[in-house]
Amino acid sequence: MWTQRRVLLDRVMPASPDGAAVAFEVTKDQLVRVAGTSTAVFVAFNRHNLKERFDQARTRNNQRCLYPTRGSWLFTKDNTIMLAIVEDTWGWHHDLQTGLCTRKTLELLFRRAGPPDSRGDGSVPYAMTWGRWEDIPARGCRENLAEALAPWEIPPWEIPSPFNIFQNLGIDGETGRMWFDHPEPARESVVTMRAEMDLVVAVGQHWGTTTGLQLLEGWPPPTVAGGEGSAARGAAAPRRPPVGSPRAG
Amino acid sequence: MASRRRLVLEDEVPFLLGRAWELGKGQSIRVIARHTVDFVAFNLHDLNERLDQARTKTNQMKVFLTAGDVVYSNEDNVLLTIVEDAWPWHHDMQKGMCSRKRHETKFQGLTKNNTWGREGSPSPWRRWEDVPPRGCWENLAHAVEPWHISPWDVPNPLNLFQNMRIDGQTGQLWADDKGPGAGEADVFVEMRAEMDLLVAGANDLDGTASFRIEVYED
Repeated sequence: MWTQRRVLLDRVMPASPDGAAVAFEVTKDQLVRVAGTSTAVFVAFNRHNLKERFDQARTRNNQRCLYPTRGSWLFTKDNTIMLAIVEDTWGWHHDLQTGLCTRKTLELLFRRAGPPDSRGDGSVPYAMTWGRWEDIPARGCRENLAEALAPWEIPPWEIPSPFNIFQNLGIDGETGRMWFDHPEPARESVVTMRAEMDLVVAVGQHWGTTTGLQLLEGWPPPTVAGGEGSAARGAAAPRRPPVGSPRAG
Repeated sequence: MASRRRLVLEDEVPFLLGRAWELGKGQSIRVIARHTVDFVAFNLHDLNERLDQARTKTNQMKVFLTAGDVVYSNEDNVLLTIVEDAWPWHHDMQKGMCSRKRHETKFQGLTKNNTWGREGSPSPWRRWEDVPPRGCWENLAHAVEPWHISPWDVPNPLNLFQNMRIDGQTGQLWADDKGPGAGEADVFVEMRAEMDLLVAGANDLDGTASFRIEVYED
């Protein structure tokens, strides 16, 4: 049951071969809603001090948790709460380990990965279907976010490592090994975050994927079946680990 | 090779302080401690290029580093190679830097301090007066200030000798720094600079001893 709900922004970032990003201002108490089936790279800045940025490490350590979900906060380096996750319909984990890819990263991955049909071991991100050097996207997330954030004069090296929404990363707590474990869901999931301060927010997506974005005003957020996120689902049936992973049978 | 190796610099950093040193490409720094040292690095010729936890983990697809691994920058360049690691447990790249504000929120129970072997989220201090006046963030920022680096631009460190326990299924994280023998004797990590660097280290709060560094040149 919404009261005085207004949709201030409602758009879909269409798929493109080089990925894409958008940036926009958010006012305290507004809701940012991200919808998709694949990684949405999310960063945020204190609108009144653009040096104060979303910080992966503070977000992990202040909550002693690597996988944010409904009920989690996103923190700045100064331990200030930027956003609260109020809705999460994604059935797996979101990621706070990986950083911003660049063209350079994609070239390194292409050289390391080998042909497309050999990339099932989780060592490279899903959807790396490039067969030829010419097919490597011209830009990674960092270039796309930098272009989107240019009006605020934020240079690429000032963009923090992101909150990787819908990126299910496996982590072995004993060996420390990480692997990409994308579930390829049939249906879109939604993460909604409430701004706890005035922000500049930027969202990026990878090549060939699409992301929906909304900026909403009004309270309370809608109750959605399954919106309680991965934490409430508890120890869900573990996904079959990719071939070659340390957990494969 | 051992006979050509020269010690070119030594330093000792007291508890609750940080310090910075310039390294030339090819020099090695040995960090000798018995408690956590928060360690950061910058490209000496472009201080916007700095140690990056996320790129270091992503480019090697691992969350724990040891001998043979490298430390990456935010530009995907290798800053350092870990050449020797005498710490029998894990180093950390999940945590950031502690600070006065983090101490206060921990004391108040507003942020978590889950510690393996202890219930809940215990505060390390019983009284407000015992909360330390600063943390690694202030200490590292002060150490690199002569190079005009903003405190906001001190990167999340390589937290040497800080063993954290991770549950990969639930994502839960605990401090776990009481392994057998931990804190009783010096251990070390040695890293080789793969470019000219500014490096800095600060003592974390899990002990009161100072730490030492030695810089070697072949």
